[in-house]
Amino acid sequence: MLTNNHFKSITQSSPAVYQIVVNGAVCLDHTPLIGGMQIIVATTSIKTKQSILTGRLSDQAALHGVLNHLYNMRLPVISVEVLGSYQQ
Amino acid sequence: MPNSHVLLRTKLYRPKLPTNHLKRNALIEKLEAGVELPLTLVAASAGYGKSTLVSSWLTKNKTRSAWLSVHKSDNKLNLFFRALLGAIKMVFDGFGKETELLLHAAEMPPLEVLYHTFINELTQIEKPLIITLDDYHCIENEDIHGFIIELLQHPIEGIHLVLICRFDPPLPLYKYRVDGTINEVRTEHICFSQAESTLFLNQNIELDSNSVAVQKIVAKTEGWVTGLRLLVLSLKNTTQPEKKILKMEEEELYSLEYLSEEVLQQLTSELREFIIKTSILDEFNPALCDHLLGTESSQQHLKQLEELEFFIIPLDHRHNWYRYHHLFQDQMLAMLHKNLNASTIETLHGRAGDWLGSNGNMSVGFDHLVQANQMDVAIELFKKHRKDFMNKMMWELFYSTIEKIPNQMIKQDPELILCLAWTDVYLGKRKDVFKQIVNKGFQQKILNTENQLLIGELHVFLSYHRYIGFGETIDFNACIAHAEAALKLLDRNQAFLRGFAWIFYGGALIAQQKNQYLLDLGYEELSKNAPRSERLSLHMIINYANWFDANLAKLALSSKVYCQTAKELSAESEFGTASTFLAYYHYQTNNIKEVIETIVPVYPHRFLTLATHHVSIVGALVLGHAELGQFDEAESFLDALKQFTISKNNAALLVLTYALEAEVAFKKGDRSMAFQLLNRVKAEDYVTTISDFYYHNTSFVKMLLYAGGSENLLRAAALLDRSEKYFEQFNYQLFLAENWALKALLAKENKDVMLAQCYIENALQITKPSGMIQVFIDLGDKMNTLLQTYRLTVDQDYFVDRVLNVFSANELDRIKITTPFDSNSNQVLTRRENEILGLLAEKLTNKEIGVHLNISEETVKRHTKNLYQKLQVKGRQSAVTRGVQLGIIV
Repeated sequence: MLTNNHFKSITQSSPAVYQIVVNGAVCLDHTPLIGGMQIIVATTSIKTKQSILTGRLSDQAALHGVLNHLYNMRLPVISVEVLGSYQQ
Repeated sequence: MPNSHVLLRTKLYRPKLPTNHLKRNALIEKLEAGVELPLTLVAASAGYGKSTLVSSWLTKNKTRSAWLSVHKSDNKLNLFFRALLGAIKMVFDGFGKETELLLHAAEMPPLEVLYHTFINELTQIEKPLIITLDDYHCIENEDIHGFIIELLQHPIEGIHLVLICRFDPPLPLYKYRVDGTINEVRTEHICFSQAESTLFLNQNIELDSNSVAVQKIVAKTEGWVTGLRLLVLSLKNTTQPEKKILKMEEEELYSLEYLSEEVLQQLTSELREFIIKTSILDEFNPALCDHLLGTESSQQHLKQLEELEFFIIPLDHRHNWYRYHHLFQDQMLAMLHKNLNASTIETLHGRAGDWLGSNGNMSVGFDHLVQANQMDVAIELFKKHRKDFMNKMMWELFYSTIEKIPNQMIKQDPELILCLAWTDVYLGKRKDVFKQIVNKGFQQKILNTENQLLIGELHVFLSYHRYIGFGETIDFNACIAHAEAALKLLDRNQAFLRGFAWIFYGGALIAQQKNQYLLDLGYEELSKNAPRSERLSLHMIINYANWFDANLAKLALSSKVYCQTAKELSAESEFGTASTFLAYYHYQTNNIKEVIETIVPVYPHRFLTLATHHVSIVGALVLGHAELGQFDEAESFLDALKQFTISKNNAALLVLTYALEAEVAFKKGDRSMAFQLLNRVKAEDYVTTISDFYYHNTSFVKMLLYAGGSENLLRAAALLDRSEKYFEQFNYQLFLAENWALKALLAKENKDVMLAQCYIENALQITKPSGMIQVFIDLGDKMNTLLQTYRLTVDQDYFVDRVLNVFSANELDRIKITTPFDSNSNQVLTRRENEILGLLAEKLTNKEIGVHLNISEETVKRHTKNLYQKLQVKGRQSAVTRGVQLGIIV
């Protein structure tokens, strides 16, 4: 689901800014559990709620930790996007 | 289960370091630098050498360390804690006794109790200690994460936790980062640097470090150590490694699959087959491998692989048990499925299950048999071992195995339905099962098996069913018949089942007024040297026989013997129950100080008993302290109890707690508060549990009688009639006495003096022979007046005189601690306030009082403020004067 072709250089260990969109509302209490990503809950045109999580994650282990947490909370992931990368 | 501990132990050794591992001083320094923090997180994908790194740090660091390789099967809280205890015990033998007791408790204690007990025990051990949880990503259970969060919330100095995982665990890592309490080793740190990759290659194959080939490898493997190791192994027997590397496609250098196949090609076909076939095993030893492969050469193969350092990890110091590197095992499994057909693989699983099952590892064996498509054999294995689990009360493991059996198969197997029914009794799961057991068709199926043990087990259930009723008619004759049949059919090895049968057999005999027969039978059985759990059950029913019968003289003796036996057998939970009998004996005979002395030693173990016994234990303390006028203590125990019953989500227990709360208010003299407290619930909705020592209805009715008014009296009458029927049915003399006493009060409220007299006599008939005076004392001044009237009608009654003496002695005490000018309000001085008032009279300053009572000056000020308010005075001098007037200060 990684959509941006500009970030082919991303490796296992590269930090990057990610934006993850899930169906449903993520409670703000979860911020510390998802690597401090910011949560915005938006209502879509068909009146369902989506949460947009944005933030810098240290590496793929952190990204998978967040995805795993969302999975355990039964929140379907719609997209994962790299917004920017930090070259080490 | 002879060998299961061996398998468990394999999880508790940290992996041995490969000889060709690269010393990574910078990383070790990084780990070392974080050791003062509470947590180190090592997070990177598989194959980066996380475990090896931590292991090499621990080897160098030489601090005491406990290691646990977490498995997916550890996702049950109880099993995780058992494993964690095992790990720490490897370092501190005998660690975690309290936690271990909780893990074996009849009911799972509230989470925070388990967490805090464990954390408390950790604080007591010698520091420093490093605890490593390897493969922590296998943990999905939120309660386990909750425990780790709790552990890190208030870090213990000298305890350092290391979590090794493939991806970040759902812990508040962000917060830890902000707080600076976490040390992280992540992919960017752990991956080999270019220099390290080059060095590693140089140490293992002959290559020019500046060559294009080396540069190519270093660039493409991105510091992924497993890739490098696989590459080295695949080039080991190559004469011209450089040439081979240059020929490889770039993607091949990156591909685990390709590299694994290359490596396997280096081995003999025999060894190759060995690895691929044994990859179905998570842990193995030579005997298991021999059985799996039908050979006798496994020892030799394993030795060879170990010499080659071929992704094999010894799990114990004697090099008996091993596992493959997880990533490598996954690859080999993929190859197994590619190269062998399904039926061959099933045969392998079947053999593994067979060996593990007959060597004491039921649960892993069971899983292999399921994969072997031999569910029937797996079920047989479970059946063979289930009594072990039952005798040891390991219900979580018991249930987790049953869960894996398809419903369809359970439905067809009466023995499995019985198993499910046990999980209902102990874990409250699969509640629909009990109905099936009482179905005649089902019973016939069991009888048809002609299996005596199974038929005996069915009888145990049926005796339980006939005693409790479960919505159907209670039938004590049937209960006795079933229990007798069960005890006849079940041999001494069925300790758990026999113990269970005894309880209901005993209950039914009591109900039929055969208490003496039960006592004779119980003592006779005890003389036959019954096994542990059966002996404890026998003591329990003997005590119930005396308690129900209100035979307190015998109870005094039997409860002391029960306490002694439980102590001798180190049965902590039963020691709690035994002490409860003793404490309530003291309570009923008005030896209140003894109540507290009996309970105090078992109070810390209250979570080990069933929830109802827990309430009885704490209830005794609440009632005891309240009776002694120590209301601060009574209320603090009450608060703890309330928290517990709320956590249990059990309405009946919560009502019991409300009743105790009302009792405390009543004893304080605050009748309206007592009434309000109980009015929150509808008494009519609750019946007592037969195992309770304290009956909430007594409090309900009492408050209704004191509140007065025709409506309340009618409600009281209805409640009393209902409980009379109930207690008569079970022949519960002790509670019947209470009921008669309440009926007497009710009759008096209804101005029927004759009837009141008659009921009092009924109550006295039961209470007199035992010296059971507390029943009357608990009913307060209305009972005092009633007994005084009664006393005038009889010539001589030493028993009633004793009750009246206690009433007048209490009266004197009460005058000392309550303010008589407003008995309906909250104006009761607490013990502390009384102490302070005494010290004020001695003209001590607040500061001096603080030193005297070992409390802060602020607290003294708070107490004096409350004190002034209660005595309705404005200063210390007038407080002292009022105190003298009221007789509080002598």
